[in-house]
Amino acid sequence: MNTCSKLKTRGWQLILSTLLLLLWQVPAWALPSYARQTGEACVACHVSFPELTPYGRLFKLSGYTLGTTRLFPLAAMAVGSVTKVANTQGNDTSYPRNGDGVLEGGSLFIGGKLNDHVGIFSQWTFNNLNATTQGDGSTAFSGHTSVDNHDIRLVDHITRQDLDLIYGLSLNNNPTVQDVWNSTPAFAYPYQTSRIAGVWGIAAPTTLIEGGLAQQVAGLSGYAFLNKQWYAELGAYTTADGMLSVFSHGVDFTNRLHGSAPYWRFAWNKDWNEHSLTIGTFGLDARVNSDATDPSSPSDHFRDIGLDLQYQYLSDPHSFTTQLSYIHEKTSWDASHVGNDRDGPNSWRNSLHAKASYWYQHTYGLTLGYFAQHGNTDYLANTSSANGSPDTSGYIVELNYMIQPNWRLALQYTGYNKYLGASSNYDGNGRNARDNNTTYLYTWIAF
Amino acid sequence: MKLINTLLMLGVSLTTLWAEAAGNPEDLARQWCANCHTADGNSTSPLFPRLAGQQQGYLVQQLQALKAHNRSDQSAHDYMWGIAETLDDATINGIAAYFASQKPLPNTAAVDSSLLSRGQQLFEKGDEARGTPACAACHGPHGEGNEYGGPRLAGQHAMYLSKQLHVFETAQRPSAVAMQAIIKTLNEEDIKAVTAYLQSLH
Repeated sequence: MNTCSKLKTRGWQLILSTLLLLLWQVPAWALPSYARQTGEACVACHVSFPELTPYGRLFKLSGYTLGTTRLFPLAAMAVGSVTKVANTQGNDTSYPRNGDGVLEGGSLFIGGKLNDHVGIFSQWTFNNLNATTQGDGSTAFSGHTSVDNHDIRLVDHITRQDLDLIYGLSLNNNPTVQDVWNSTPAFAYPYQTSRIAGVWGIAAPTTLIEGGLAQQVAGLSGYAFLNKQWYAELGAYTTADGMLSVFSHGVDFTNRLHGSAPYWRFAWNKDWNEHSLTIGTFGLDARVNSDATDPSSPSDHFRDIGLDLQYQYLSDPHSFTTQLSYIHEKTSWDASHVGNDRDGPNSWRNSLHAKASYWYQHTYGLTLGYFAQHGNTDYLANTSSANGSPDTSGYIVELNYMIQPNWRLALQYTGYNKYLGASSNYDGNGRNARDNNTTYLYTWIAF
Repeated sequence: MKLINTLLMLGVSLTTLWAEAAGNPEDLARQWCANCHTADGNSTSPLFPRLAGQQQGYLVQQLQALKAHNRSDQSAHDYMWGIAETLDDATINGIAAYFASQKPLPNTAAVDSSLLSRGQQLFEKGDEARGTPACAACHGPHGEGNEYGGPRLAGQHAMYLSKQLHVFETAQRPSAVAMQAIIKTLNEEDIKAVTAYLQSLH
């Protein structure tokens, strides 16, 4: 660990110790900063963190401004876990920390009302498993602090006899992080994923809007929610550099936007009795530099269009929620790619996610998820696949137990039916999709 | 260390922005209370009680009890303690007046019709043999409540009423002295019947 990293780690230790001292006298039911601001329990806003209830959605749309302004609107969370892959094929160096207990890291939040019209969600994350590959092929881990999700809002709420209009602006650094339904990528299931599995490189292919621009862009959007039924939002993103670099602090660019990228989101919502239903669409039209380090490099054109649905049945003691999203991505590649890292000038990708959760007394939860990514065959782009296909599909089974409303213990199993185009021997070296199945035991605490 | 400096600066700047929740009671009711109870007080989710047409005095009493943490059932604690703490007496009176003046709409959620006659009997006549007084005696002949403390029950969600009747088995709502005695005379079937009837009442 170099001197800079040591200082950062010490800085985090200082911040966390100060936080613990600040929170020492907070009653046991008090939860992160929004709960302290409104005086309400987690269950008012969350089915389970981060999935929002109708009230939680309105709290967010109201710009986090309900309640009283607090002097230090701080909160924190930490995650510890064990991840085990089904089969290392004897190549243990490619699967470091397999089956080991690890402290994944944690986040510090500045979250709350600044005044009646301005509120903030500001997350800074310490990744304790920042991986770098060594010369001998082994992996070294270090700590790394960087900016995480941000959403700063300016809002107004007009209410009259037959009118309820919340409208405002969101300044954020991750397309869909500002969205209040958990059927759009930033806050979609799985709500917690294994950092270690990410280090191993086990992940389904994604579209650009599914995290490809997270913490690399800054965007401003205007939104309106009419009569708690119709939602409309239009905005644009640009690369978070120069004056906006605080939104990408500590993050390496993997995608650099060329110019501004329009973003849209429309949804219809209905809450009745114990039910809440939302159907919507969202999307992004982005030009991305072919070289993320060179703003003058030619650009590729991505167009992501998403359809989503969320249904929630919220009662006591039973809650049931389900989310579905389908994203279609069409990409036109600049000519410089063709023959180098792309077979042809155009490509497409579809990404499907579905999940259903049952909760009993907000304490015991069972979630079943399904995911499927399809795309065109491209031998140059999908070099890890023996048949050039990115197609990946599988399922997630997760058991949750809330030890406290702010402390979760979970066992998550991800199974792959197909990985990069095949269920068996997908890489041409005898690795099967099911060899990537991962068991992830984690505990998450927020305070 | 740049990060720490940024955080410190943010923290210091926030200290200048301290302010109490503001707004007149009607705006507060429409913008905050409405998120669960709806703006006209006719909530559709049975997790949250209907407030439209509720007795003003009862609403004041309950908000004060929630503010003082005298009412301590789980939902009161989870949803209402913190909110009530931000309200001063004038705002509590204003919010109570606002919801009391809203028109109660019929509760259209389905009920088991086979329960209604037993529920009506309990509501109107009670059960003398078991010492259950008629609900109507305190809550009004049409469940509209009265200004002496009996809250409006007509159209209230059966699930909410049932949950509160079970709360009366505890000491979590100390102001409901009469109900703490009455609940001892009711069995589960009675509770189902009378709450179904009350939900259907308009």
